[in-house]
Amino acid sequence: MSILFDHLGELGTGLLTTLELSVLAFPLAVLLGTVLGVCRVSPVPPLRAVATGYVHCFRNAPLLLIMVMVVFALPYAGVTVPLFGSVVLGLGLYFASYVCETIRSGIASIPIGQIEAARAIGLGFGGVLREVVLPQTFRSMVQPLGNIFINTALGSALAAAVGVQELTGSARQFNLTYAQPVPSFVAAGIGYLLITLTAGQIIGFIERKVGIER
Amino acid sequence: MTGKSTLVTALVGVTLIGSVLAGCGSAPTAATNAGGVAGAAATAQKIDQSAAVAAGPVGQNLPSTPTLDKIRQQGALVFAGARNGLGFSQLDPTTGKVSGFDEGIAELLAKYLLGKPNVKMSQGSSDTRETLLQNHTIDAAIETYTITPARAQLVNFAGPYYLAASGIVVKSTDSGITKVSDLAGKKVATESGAAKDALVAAAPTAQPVLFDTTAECITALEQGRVDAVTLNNALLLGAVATKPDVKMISATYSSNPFGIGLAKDDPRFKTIVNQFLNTIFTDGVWTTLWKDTVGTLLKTPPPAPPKLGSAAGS
Repeated sequence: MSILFDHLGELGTGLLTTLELSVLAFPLAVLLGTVLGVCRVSPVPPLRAVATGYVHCFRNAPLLLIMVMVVFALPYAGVTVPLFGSVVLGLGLYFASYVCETIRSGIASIPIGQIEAARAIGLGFGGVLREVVLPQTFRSMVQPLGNIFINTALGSALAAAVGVQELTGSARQFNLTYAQPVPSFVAAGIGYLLITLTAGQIIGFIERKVGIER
Repeated sequence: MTGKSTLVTALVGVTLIGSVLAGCGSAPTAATNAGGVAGAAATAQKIDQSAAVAAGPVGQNLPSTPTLDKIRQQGALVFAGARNGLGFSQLDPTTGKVSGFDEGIAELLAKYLLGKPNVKMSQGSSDTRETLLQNHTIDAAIETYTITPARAQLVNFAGPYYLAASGIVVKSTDSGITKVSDLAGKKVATESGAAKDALVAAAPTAQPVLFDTTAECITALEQGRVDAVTLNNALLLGAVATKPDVKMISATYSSNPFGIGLAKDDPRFKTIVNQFLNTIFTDGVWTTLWKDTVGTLLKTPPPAPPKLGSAAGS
């Protein structure tokens, strides 16, 4: 056990990598997911079809498969992203499908009367989205989006399989060297708890600030 | 109108999926991998431990120990093994058979203990084998398991039964790396565990990039993500045999002693397993097994069996 405390630094570096992966991948997922979500409710059939196809492809594939595809298959298409960037990209692409569905249901929760009213005062499709629909969507979707952030942090554990030494990878490496499976994985679990509980607190705070009382 | 748009959605969806699939199918990745798998399968078919197992000894008047009693009751040796180590323990998915040196050692040990080579592989990952041995889920761990003093505090090691050298694979066009010290400062793909430890010991400034399988390491090298791959040399020879764009350099380094991991609380069972190893070392079965498995990849004369207890921790 004491040997674990001597090597907390290595696990700390892994924790930091996990945090970096989640903090970089999540905005990518939100950005892409919002665009896809808007496409899914847009009046243009091809846009709807592309977004629907995207969600079907990415949401129904295992995350590990997507990471392996980004790391090992993209280079054959002439795009070689560094390993860290590949993992961020893989996480972002995968969780964008979840963000898309969350945003879509958020948009669906806006009373139709508001949209009609916005139309009546002369706003176009973009204006309705920007001024009326999306601000309310994000405010009512804080908790579901927070869940996606937590899933992104936990999903980043798969990065260990494709050469990025994050928290799970560090714990495995420590265990292989010192043969301490239980302490090393419990320590990794505590690391994930630190990230997810902090995220939970922040999400709760944001929700209290911006949430809509209905 | 709704019907039409649904149809369009479905069509585009199908086209998208189709093009994604077609993209994968026509990309060189699938082509090379398929070639690699076929090649590996052909190489794997030459690896056959059955002759050595047929010639293996059966232990006489073995004393009763808790582990041995349990194995006899089960009628099979339950061991932690791997499925993706060509030469040591490789599963052939078409036949379901596992072939290689480690599998041969497991079958020989089962034959020595039970009179017949009944083994049951539990795919214990390298993360948990100490725990699985401690709580007697498995009777032995035979999976390129390097003997280290830290591990020996938790489990008993019989052996060593094999001394593995680390090999280095580089791109065919690379002439700058000819020995392990040339890896200094380079990105080197490897797997966590013994191979990575050997690399760090031999080239402290090399940057290890860890992957899960040999095939992933080699692919990362082919794609230029890393400058070299280092792993156990027999594993590497099997993996590069079918790849024209990478080559193995002749120099090897390090020496990892592989042992049979056993439960700590049954020291008399370790004595029995060491007796078994001693028997196959002296009667030539070990050498036959080496020639029929690892030897088909290395193509060098068989080495002398290692000396029992020669590794720290065994």
